[in-house]
Amino acid sequence: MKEQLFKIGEFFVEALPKLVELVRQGRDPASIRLDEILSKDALAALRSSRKKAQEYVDDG
Amino acid sequence: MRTLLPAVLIFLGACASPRSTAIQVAVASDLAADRLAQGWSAATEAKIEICRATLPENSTPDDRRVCLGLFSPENTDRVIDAVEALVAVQKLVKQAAECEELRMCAESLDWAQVARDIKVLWSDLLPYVRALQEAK
Repeated sequence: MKEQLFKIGEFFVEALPKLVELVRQGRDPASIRLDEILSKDALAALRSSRKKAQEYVDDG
Repeated sequence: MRTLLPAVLIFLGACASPRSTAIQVAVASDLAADRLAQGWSAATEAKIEICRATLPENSTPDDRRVCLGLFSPENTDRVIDAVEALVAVQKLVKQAAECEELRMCAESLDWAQVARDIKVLWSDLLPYVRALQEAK
């Protein structure tokens, strides 16, 4: 139970800034949807580092 | 802080049902994937700089690939594959959550299975997460 509560706390530390930003923009917290909190950066960052590594392997 | 309370309560309620738990797992998974991707990207760039500084100018592509080791393009492809699968599951969670809110679903999603699927996908990524931690 303690571990579960810790995980929930950890989640809030990560997600809360995004919620705060949306509320500051005047949004009703109850209307905030999941996809507004989820980010879309993970794949873009990985593809970018893959490209850099490939360029280094090919061209030095 | 008072204005945030409704949102906090909505998310605290996430422990109550498999649906809410799956949504919470999807959000946590998304944040963790972001952290992994940023860490992987930074570590790859650092490794490229180390290889540039240590390998001779006439190094071959094979030399450079070996020097990159964990952060070779081939390994990054494996990480990308796993993260793509996670993103697909997270998207499924988002769509199902929205469709249930609108009561337009033909059939209900097995939320407990979704949470288990995310866990399995993360177990594929775990060796890379550990390797990244060790590389730091």
